[in-house]
Amino acid sequence: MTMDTTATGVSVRGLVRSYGTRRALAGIDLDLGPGVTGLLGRNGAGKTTLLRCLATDLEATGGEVRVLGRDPEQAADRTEIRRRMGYLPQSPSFYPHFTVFGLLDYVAVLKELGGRRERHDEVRRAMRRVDLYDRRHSRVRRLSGGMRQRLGLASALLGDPELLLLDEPTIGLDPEQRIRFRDLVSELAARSTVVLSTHQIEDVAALCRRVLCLDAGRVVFDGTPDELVSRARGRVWEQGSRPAEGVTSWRLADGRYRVLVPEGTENPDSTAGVPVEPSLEDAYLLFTGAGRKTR
Amino acid sequence: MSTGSTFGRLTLFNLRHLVTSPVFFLTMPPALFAPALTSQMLTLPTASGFHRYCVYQAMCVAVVMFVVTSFPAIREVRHSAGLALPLSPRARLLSLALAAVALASVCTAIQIVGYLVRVPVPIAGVLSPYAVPGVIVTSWFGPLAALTTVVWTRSFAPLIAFVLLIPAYLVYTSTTVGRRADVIVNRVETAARSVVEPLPVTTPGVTALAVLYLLLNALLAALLLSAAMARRDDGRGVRPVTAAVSALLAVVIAVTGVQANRAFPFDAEFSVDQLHGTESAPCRTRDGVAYCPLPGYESWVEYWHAALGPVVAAAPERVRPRVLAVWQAGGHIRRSLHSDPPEYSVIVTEYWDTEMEFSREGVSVDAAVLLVGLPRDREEPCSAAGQARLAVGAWLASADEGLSRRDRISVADSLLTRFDADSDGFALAHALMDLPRERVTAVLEEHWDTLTDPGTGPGELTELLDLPDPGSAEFPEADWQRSVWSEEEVLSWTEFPFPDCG
Repeated sequence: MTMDTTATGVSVRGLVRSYGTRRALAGIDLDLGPGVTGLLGRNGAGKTTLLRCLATDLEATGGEVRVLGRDPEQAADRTEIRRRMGYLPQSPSFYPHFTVFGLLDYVAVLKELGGRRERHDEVRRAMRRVDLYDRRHSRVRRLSGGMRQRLGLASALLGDPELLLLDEPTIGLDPEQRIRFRDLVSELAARSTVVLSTHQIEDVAALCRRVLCLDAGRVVFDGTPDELVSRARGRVWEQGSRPAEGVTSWRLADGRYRVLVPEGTENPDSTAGVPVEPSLEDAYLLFTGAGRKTR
Repeated sequence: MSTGSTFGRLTLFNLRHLVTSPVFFLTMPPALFAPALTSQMLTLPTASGFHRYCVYQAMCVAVVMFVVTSFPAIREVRHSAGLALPLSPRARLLSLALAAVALASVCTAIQIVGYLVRVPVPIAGVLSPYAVPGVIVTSWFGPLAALTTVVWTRSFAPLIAFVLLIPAYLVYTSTTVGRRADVIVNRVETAARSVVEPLPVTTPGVTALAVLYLLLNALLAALLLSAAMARRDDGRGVRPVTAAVSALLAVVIAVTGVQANRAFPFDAEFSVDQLHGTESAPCRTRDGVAYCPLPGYESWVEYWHAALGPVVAAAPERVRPRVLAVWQAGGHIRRSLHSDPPEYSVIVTEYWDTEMEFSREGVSVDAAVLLVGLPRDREEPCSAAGQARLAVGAWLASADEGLSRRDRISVADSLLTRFDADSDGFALAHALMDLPRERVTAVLEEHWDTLTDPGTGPGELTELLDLPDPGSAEFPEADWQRSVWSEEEVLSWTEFPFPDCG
């Protein structure tokens, strides 16, 4: 197995990360290039750990990682990766006494963004991109959850990073902001590698050319959203009666039930329902093990 | 861009944010300017006084900077982790420390410069070039302590405790009720004092002491910084190497402190050549009197001579050599560790205030005491009531005709009080001031030996001066209106007289 040392993407071979005796990542192999890659998985599947390893915030316990062609275990390489990367952690904790401008200026200094004038120009640009320019003088503590999320996004966008790692970036955003976010990420993906960890399936459907589904620290699906959907064909049913115990189902608005049948099993109530075209969400639920869990 | 330049930019960023933080804006200006508005500048400032002032101001700056630095320290410890930025959390903490100590240094320097601008005349005495840097390092304790406590607690708890304890301490020490916490308060005070003044003796002109003071302060600052750096970024556990460095620094500080306390106890004395840039302290002679100032106090000879000259000049020429020298004794400094001032010397200290009459009075009275042969030892007080030489001495002490009558009476009273004069003695001394100077000097010239003999009473003096007997009704009363004392006070202390002066 050869490592892809491309200078614009990410290569991972046999990545393992353990917390004590628990393995959060249990041997992950992947190569990521320009474009948006969606990272799907249940809570605890390993998405955040994978992103933190790629963001050099967390050391791998085993395996090899190359980010932008560099080895995060080497101090100099790690610094270089951080210079060229934007990272939005899952729960960014921003200093509440900073103003919006002050916080982004602080991050911009740490991202080594040129002289004061250039840096401030870049900060203003980032604020405009996430629609926070009008709140530039507001203290962070005065911002709503959605605004803080946009602030985190702005901090990740500073300096036009070659690699953008976004951990649940659309939590708390209103529909209008989410559309704006998609537009922004789509624009960035034209020249950068974007990895998006989310539970918002619509965002993945709208943005990602590639989807990785993680379950128990392993990649259980790696392909396009269409491929993911096609793998779910024949496993999504709608029926009038409540399905038998052991399959994932939920009641729809019209009183019917939507039923997900995991791979390798048959719908026990197949006579009562009809197979329907799966959505990406159905496929996600099937491949992240949701169906198996309730079995 | 290199990591170094990022560090520099971040340090400037931190500096700007510290200066513009509301806490700094509200607390530092009063700390900087209050001393200028409230403290009274001495007319003749000294190096020791200047050093004490600087230490006090550096402590004020340290207190303010503790509060100011706690906020960005929280930012670094609790709110900047996990962003995976090129500059490591330790480097960011170091940058904040650098910005905070730079700001503390600038604020302390402003205080020092402000003092130097306000001084009316050059500062007397000697200051080692290491003394002021040592003081500036004292101001670093505040910001570095803020970093260390915040890093280890990851909370505002140290700041809250500090902000509550300072007013509580001030209230406690300024009230008289409830002294149950005295032991604890005293221990805390002692501990705080030993940090700010690690040596029992502070003579800022002695190079060895100033270097030691600077060294101990620098070591303590390094200890605070390394203790902050010893905590891991995630707040759990310690970095073994940095923790070991901290422990080593603590041991070095303890050993150095103990050794320094042994080498320089509170009663340590230093020779002049241990003062910065000084090899000797030559005396200079004015009108037959040797003036022996400590190094740096040469300009004070004029003040001493202005006080002493008229006293000596009023005495008969043949007895003037009795005042050999004006000898400045300065705390821990001696011209030679094996020499004492000449026997007939007026001893002056490191303090002189041109606006306070008692500075001048001390020299005039001591000179008069020497001339008339009264005992100089204040440890064994005696009474010269009923001796003519007491009135002669009072007249000599107040012989400067440039003084107002009130000031002359004040000087005379100072001598009279020292030797337990009775109300007749006060009356005679005050009456002598009203006589023509030539008349008194002529009598003294002719009858000096008799009049300064302990066995000669005031009656012989009044007879020679054609004055009525001091106890008689014709003799004018003492000028109690201008006197420092009232007649009742004088009567009260003569009820329990000291032994007679021999």
